[in-house]
Amino acid sequence: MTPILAGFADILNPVTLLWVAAGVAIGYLVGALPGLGKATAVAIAIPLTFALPALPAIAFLIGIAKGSAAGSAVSAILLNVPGEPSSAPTALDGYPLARQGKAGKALKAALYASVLGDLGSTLALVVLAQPIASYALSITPVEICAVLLFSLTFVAGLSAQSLAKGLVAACLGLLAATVGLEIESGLPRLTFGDYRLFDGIPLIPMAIGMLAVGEMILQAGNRAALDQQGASIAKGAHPDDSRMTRDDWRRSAPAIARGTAIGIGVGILPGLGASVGSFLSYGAARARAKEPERFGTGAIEGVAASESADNAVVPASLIPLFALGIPGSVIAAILIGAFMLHGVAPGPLMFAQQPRLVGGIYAAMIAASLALLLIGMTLQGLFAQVVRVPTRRVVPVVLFLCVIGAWLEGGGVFGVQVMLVFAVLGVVFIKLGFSVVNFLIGFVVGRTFELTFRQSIQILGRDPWNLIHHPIALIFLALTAIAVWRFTRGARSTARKSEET
Amino acid sequence: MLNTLKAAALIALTAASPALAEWPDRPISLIIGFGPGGQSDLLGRALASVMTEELGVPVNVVNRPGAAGGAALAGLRAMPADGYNIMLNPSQTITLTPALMAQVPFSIDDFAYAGMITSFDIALVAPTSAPFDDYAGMVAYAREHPGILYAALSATTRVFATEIARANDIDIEVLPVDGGPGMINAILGEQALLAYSGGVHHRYPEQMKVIAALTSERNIGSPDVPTINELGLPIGMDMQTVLIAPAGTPEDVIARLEATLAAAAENPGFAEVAESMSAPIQFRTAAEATAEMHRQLAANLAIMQAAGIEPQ
Repeated sequence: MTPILAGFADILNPVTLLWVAAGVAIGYLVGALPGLGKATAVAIAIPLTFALPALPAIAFLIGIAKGSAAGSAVSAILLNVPGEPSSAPTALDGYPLARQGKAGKALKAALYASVLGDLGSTLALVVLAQPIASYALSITPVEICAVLLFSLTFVAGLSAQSLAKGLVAACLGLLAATVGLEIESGLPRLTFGDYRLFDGIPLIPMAIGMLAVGEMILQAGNRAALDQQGASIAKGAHPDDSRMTRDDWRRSAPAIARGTAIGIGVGILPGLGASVGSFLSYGAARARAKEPERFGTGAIEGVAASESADNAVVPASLIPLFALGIPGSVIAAILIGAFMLHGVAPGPLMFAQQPRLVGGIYAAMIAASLALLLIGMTLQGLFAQVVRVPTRRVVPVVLFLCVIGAWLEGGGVFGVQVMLVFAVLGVVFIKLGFSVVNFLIGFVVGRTFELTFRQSIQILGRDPWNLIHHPIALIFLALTAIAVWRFTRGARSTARKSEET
Repeated sequence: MLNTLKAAALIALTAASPALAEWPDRPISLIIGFGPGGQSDLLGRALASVMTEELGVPVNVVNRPGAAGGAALAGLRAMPADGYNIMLNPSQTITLTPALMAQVPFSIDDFAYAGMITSFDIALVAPTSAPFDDYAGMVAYAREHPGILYAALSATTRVFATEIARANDIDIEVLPVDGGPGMINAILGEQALLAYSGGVHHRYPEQMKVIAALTSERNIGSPDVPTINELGLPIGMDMQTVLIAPAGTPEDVIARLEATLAAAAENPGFAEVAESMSAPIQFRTAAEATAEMHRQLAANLAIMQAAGIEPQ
């Protein structure tokens, strides 16, 4: 234990602290720009760390990951353009709040939720990484498949107006996820002979198109209303509108706690990613809410739920990396490269061979959580000025940023084309009352679900009775059955009620 | 040693010819057909920094992910052959894809090859706890326990399992996994007893053991383990990272690129990155690389044809 404690002292070096702060600040800025994701930011920063010693280099990179996970809420709230897909649920309630003149409140809720989710998950990493190692290996694709199936039932919870339309949207999302090379035979599916679709539809251009561009197209028709709204956004009449009140905390605290737990769970399971975490957390918060109809119109707990889970995934995805050497997320996979470059082999041996460095990394991660709070508060004041600019002037700039994001993340012109196609689809969805969020959940979960399902068939030796050896999977399958029964019953009773009235 | 001499000779040659002063006079784009952060990207970035030093102009890494480099190759093919757009990519995207797909948006003749710099230690690996240590042991075990799982990353990597199973009349089931991290997960979690590895197993010496090299020459990182060809099944397929330019790129430009590549192979900074990526450095000249590409394509087509795999 002592070397780990010695590692904690290493972080007090001002140069190392400076690198942590720099990482968080760069990450926050990159996250706040629409379209640039944390994975790209970390990967591009790796060569910058070639000349650094191991601790500041790793602290810098983890700082970028944490900062951009939090920063992506800024553009989601102010512009309705998620900085990355995992912040899409943040926009659902954050942007309505901003339009009501409560941008300051929403930004603060997002930041506090991010910091708390991040800190909670970092502490979970410190405490759990070693003991959890043996359990993590017993989680096979069979368990993950069951968890994903259960998570798909949240879609029903998110379908407020019509369960049928909600399910149709989710199924279309699943369908979109099947585009690309088939996982087992390598044959192209639904690519129409276009090799650029071989790796599937890129998520970020799709999300930008459906959520941001689609929304702007809808708004473009109504200039007068836009200007009026802009004025009221800028005002923020009451001081309570730009801070978290006691009532806001009361609503948000359970959402943050649940979001952190969901984020940690999603982070530990390999292959799910931050988007699954934030969508699940948002869905869970809505399913638990006393007045679910408030969601989507500016529920502060929706922002808190999404952002806490988004940030909690980042440190938690390092648990399997540190404990077992298994990358649990894209970020973790990229960090393996960085760790190896700095002579550190992530895995159980790291604790035995370089305990001091592990201690240093832990301390740096906690320091990054705190730096995130300070830097976030400082930069937020700056970003919040965006709301003072009339919306009709902001829209062209945002569209430009959307195009850049789609270009960068979607491999050039192809990404922009994908963005435009899905912008049109988004408009059609909204006009017809289909849920864009359900579509995206289906898409995000679809690929991993298919992969783990096919892996499960092989692992179970094509015999369903072998499920007996996977009790965790059985529990989640049972929960799925209960959830489906509850939602269908609920749907029937609402249908009956509407018939009566 | 021979490579060192060749590299030295090349540097001497290019330094002696002043006629090459024109190229390069502006920044060069080094295209990487994969997203940032992976092995190809990090090797590319390390190469780019050496090239910047050697050529005196900025060499910028441009990521164009998609179809294991195929999307970027299709783009590179249409770019001007002036040496300002070059690409570093694993050779199999060009030498194996035609054996699997009927419609490939590029062919081996669309490009000029300026040299190869690293090779991949492709191998059949197993978790350390597996109840066998070598190929014969694995075959014997699989005979007694039909249906052992082999983690495969793609259709190509699947071929090894089906061919080994067919040649030995045993039953190997395929567990599809998503990329290198998925393979690591399957082996460390002992969900699969066998897996295809493109070299990443060198990072896990305590947890993985090499059963056979799946290349035609022995792996550089594990020279004691026989190749699948030596074991009587001629299906070894080689892969190197190759520096690619559009066909028609002037020969003096190719020569400069070749010399830069040779310099990178000797550069300690590049060596450090390659070492951490478990990518053994093995420099080949432009002529050697071009010959190797054609040999590989013919060999791979023959292997796939023998395996009864038709391009789809």
